[in-house]
Amino acid sequence: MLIIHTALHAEARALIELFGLKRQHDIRQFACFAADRVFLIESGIGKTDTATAVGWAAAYLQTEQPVWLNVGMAGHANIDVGGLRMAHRIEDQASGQRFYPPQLLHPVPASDNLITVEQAAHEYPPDAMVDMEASAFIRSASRFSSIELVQSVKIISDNLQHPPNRMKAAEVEALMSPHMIQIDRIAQQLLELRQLLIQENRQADQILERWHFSQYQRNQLKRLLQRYQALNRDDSILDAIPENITNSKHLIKWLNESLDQTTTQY
Amino acid sequence: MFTTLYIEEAVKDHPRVLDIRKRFSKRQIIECRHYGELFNPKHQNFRIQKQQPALVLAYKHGERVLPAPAGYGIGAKHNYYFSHMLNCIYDCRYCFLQGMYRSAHTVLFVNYEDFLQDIRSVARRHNGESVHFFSGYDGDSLALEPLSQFARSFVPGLSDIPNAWLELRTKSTQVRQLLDMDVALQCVTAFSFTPEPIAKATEHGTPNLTQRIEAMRKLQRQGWPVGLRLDPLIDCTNFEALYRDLLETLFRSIDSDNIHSISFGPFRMPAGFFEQMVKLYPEEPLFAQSMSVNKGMVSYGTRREQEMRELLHTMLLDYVAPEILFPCINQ
Repeated sequence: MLIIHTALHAEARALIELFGLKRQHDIRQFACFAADRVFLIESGIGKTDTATAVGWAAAYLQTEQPVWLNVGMAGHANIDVGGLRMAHRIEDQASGQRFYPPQLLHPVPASDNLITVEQAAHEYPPDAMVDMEASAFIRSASRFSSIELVQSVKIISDNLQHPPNRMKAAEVEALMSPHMIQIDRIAQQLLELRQLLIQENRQADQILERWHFSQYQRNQLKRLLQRYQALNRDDSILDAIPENITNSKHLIKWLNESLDQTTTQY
Repeated sequence: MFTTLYIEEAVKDHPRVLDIRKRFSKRQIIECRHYGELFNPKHQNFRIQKQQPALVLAYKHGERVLPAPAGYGIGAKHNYYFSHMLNCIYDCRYCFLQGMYRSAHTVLFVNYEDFLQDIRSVARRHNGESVHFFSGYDGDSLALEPLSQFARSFVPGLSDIPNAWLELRTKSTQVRQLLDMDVALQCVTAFSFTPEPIAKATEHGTPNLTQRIEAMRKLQRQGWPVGLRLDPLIDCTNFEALYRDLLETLFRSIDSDNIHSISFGPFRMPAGFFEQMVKLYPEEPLFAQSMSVNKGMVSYGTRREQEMRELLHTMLLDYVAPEILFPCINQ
């Protein structure tokens, strides 16, 4: 699952088109758009709304280790307007707290420091982009996913030569649109990394359907099946279960005994 | 190797940092206040980071030289370890670092001179008795040598500490720096081995057996003390045959009369680390075998451990004298 956060609808438009997202009219708390495995939430400007939206989306979606992507505008003293940068260090100006989203993508996208401010600023720091959401985004989202899966992508909207002004939605969209291929590539790579964390086990689902398991037994079964598959790589557990197994307790006992007798062969 | 370099602000002008930085001209260089800002936070995943770990250059404050755990020595009464590096460029599935650290980034502490000064102080406290200092606990001592220049900077500094012995523990072939300097008889380069099929399955990114043996031979030929580390011993159905093959291969190539020490010990792990490693790699066969937990340590169980140790001990006696054998025992 990919969860995209933007502050404004204008920042979201090109992404909605890219991923073919549909407005979720039944959701009234935030403007949300979704398609299969992609969810976009618009929070409004600022840290409080961002943190609220991230927390709400995590609770609403209940997904294990989603990829979180903050996409939006930022200012920078001298990067060209329209340039894309990943944030490799995000600092909350008010608290001084810093976050370092690990840079794991290939090829490594251009990246820079990012400072999140409370109020729109008229001066640029010498070596960082400036926005109003990213520190709250990463702080909140990294409570729900490992930080490698939480990234911020910024498009430069203003610099010393082109001071910030009230941009029209179409202007924002025009800055965003050229970067959709790269944003898609970033998202896909992060989703691939996520696969390392998600261990799907269809055989477990079939076993859980066959007998009743308490929550404690489910946890036991999960690890026993992992062990079984690790030690009997190509063998299906479903084929191996003896016919005289009649309930979950018997199955767990049989798995334990069978695994205790199995050693690795190199 | 590394595409991202983090540098603590306090060491950004350190000569060693400037030197390393030159090699990173086209890569991401990110300043941090303290390596712990990115190394310590929760909600990180070692396995994901291991796909593309970063190098972190930092300054080691506080206690730099610590007493080694009991049962891990190679003959001296006084044993200490120090970590100029946290984490390793290799990815050995049995390694405790995966269970101990949240981050897979490699941290290199660049203030080698402070480590050496602390070693000098500790050695002085022991009034001329031999003191062993182990450098490869929290990372491979030599694997990063072309970048870190650790051995090159560190080993010559031992010459004025007559009772200090240094162990460099490695799986690497990075011995050129040692070969280019005068032999230091109190510096033991200890090479770790597992049988080749086990190494192929569990020691990702390491040089193969032949390459490691060749590096060991080069040092031995030049007069450097070398050691063998068969730790951890990995249990498997064909344990005896694999370890017999390994010893045959090793002693066919290296001079068994000129080995400083051989230590060996079955795989064991603090239970908390093991649990974390299982979470990271649930599909790993190494962790799927039946294990015992005793006094907070996960192992193959006392009886099997004893069997494995005795078997190795017996096999090793075919090649070397008992005085250089040091079984690792949890105490």
